[in-house]
Amino acid sequence: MKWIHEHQAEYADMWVALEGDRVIAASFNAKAVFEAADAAGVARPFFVHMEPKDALPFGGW
Amino acid sequence: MIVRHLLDFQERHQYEDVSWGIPIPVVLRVGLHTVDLKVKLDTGAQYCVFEREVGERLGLTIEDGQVEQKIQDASGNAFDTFGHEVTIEVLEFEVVSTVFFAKDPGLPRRNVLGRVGWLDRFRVALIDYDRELYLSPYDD
Repeated sequence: MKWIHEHQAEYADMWVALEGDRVIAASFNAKAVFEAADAAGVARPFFVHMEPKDALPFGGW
Repeated sequence: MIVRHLLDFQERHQYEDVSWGIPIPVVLRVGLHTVDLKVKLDTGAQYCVFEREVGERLGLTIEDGQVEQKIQDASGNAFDTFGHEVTIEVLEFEVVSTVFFAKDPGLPRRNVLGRVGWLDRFRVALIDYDRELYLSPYDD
């Protein structure tokens, strides 16, 4: 799955619900994405919180 | 003299090449509630930490967690979390662990699998050049 790599800029900092490579919902609000995925009737949506566009290289947690 | 060390693993996972680390697919489960997520594998994180909204999606009342824990983020800022027991599934392997959910929405900015409760239950190998992760239960 290369979806995250290919869509990082487009969905920067957003929560995204996916079914395979199909976007079900995207929003800066996690709850809104969860609810939209439920409303779409997808049995097992896949969620990812995308990295912000202006994120600096990560130097360790 | 070079001593070679050989390990074997049950699972191999090809992870995505992203700037923010090593992403792995995780299923979190509490009772009948399930969330499928892509999170960051972070060997530097002491705990497994998730955003508040993830815990709520699992049907948890965050402040009812059995442990209250302050956690420091990469910038040195501390935030409050509450520990809850959840089932963590990664590449077919399940463990039940205490993970921490942020008290405040939108924190932390990354959902991570860390050492206590996950990494300490497995043997893990990485070949980052090839974006490969190998995994077996610790007692395998």
